[in-house]
Amino acid sequence: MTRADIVLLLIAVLALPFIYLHYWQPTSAGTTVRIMRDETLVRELALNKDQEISIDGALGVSRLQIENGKIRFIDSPCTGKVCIHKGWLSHSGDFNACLPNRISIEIMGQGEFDSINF
Amino acid sequence: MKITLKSTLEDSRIAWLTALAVSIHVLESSLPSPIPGLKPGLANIITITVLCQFGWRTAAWVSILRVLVGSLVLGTFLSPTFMLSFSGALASIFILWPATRLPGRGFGPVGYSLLASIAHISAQFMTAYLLFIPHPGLWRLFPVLLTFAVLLGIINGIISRSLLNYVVNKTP
Amino acid sequence: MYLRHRLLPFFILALALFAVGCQQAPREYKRTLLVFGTLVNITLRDVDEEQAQKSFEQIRQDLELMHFLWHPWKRSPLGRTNVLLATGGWFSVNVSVLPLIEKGRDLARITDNLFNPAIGRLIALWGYHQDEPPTGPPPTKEAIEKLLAQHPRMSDIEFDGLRIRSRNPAVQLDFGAMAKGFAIDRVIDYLRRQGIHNAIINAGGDLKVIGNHGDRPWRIGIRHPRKQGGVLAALDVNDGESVFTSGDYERFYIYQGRRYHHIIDPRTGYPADQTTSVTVIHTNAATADAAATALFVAGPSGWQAIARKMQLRYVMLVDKDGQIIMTPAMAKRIALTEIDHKPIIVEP
Repeated sequence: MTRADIVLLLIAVLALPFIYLHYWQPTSAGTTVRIMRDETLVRELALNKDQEISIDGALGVSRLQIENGKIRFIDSPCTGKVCIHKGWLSHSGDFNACLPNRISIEIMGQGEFDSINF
Repeated sequence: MKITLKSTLEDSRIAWLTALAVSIHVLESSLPSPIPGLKPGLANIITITVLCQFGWRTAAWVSILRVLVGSLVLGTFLSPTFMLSFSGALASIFILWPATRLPGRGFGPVGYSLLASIAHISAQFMTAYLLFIPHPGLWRLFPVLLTFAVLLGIINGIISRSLLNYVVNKTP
Repeated sequence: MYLRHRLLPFFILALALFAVGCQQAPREYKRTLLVFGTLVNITLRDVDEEQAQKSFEQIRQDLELMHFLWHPWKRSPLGRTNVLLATGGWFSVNVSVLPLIEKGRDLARITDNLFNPAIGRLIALWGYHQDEPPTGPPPTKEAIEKLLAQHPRMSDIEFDGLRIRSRNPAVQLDFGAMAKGFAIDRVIDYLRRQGIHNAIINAGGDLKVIGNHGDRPWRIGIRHPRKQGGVLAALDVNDGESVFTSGDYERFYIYQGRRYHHIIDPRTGYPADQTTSVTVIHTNAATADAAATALFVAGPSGWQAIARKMQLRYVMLVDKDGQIIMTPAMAKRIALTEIDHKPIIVEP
């Protein structure tokens, strides 16, 4: 084995873990959700951790719930509650908003879809 | 009108080496494979051995011809399988040329085999992604198959080395 | 020189290894805008950052302007038009509104008035003329019938160059079922003029695309009308196509256990109740928007006649029981993901 062989071998073996890290990032249904107020990013959260979040908006506090890789509005100070009616989101590219409260959420990630029609 | 083809020593050398590589390729294709697209790449042993013994040009001929003839024999010519094999072979050959020009002692058979193997699997993935499965999920297989490529590249390289030692020791 | 020559192959080798290992990172820029009374998602490909930011800002301004211009009752050009229409006299209509009125007239005619933007009063009665949806209670039968009896139609409007007048004082224009599509067409035109070749604009779920996603068409998921967070179908969309879905789940309120949504049947004065959702693919977004509404109102029994008249090829309707009905052309393009029973495939 020449010196070049050994150097190459070491590089290849050492690079492998990084290759795994790069290509095995969690994907599919949706990985993170971006929560925005007036189009400014307020929070970015992973969907794999169940939790409840409160976000301050123009009218008051909107509450969101993350469970089982999905997210939904559970409470909001608007009158129409359109945001709550929409229910759970899980697919990357899907989005929802409480427009009166100026809060919007969008599922990010390299998923199957470029955009969701509804 | 009689057409005579003058064959040189190099021609006949390439011919029998290719025949040898094709035989191994055909035999190997009958082996079951746990993961689709994964082959031990035994015919690459021939390519690397030829590279070290006879130089890049010969190895290039043998490698390309092996893929072409092998696909004709197996009936996979111009099929997706062929496209993948061909792109892999092209990439390995392409990588091996600058590799042979490395200053100093350069690479040995193990290094060449490892390089060729990595180039081969990478080219196959790129081809598969661009032509057949444009789904980003395809790349999740890459680390696994790359690992095998590295392993098999090293093993095939060692086998090549033994072959070369045997040949060197046998010939006066 | 000698050294460079000897090491050149090595550099080629290193370069080749990097080239093989790395994937090409596409230049893709996304922006979410809170505008036009909804969430607008824009994706631009193959542009540089400066051009993308400039485009996003211009689109925001354009959409804000259009939202104001076409607002049915604020002190906007359309609002003033409505005031003047009620007088019955001739007046010059604002050029920002005239194309909308003409398009609305054509679409009303071809949908047999199932898409009827002249029923602004009825929509206001239900409370769906505002950005914020109503909460109930629903209007009385008498109030509805009083408005129905007036039969406001787009055909009541007479045109003379830039001047119009309405023979029927009950005509009040509300382009809610078409404005989004009309606006999206304008935005797409703008993007094309900027030389942008690959983009998606999605306004509140309805979208139109330019070009493709580089190596493949744009891939769209259609939300399931009932299964929250689920996707009903996957669809590849080609250059210039728009996908519009009208559903009973977008704007509604529940009062005493009944759901009252925003798609009013102009014939009955009540929300159309035979359909859950309609999806239409068409190259003109305004047409797709109006078509989705008209077909929703037509329901499982009447959609085919309208689809034939409009020469629509790609239609999918989900009726109130969840039965999926679609045209053969649509069936070929779409990949259903979550279905309970087999879809009915029938020519329009």
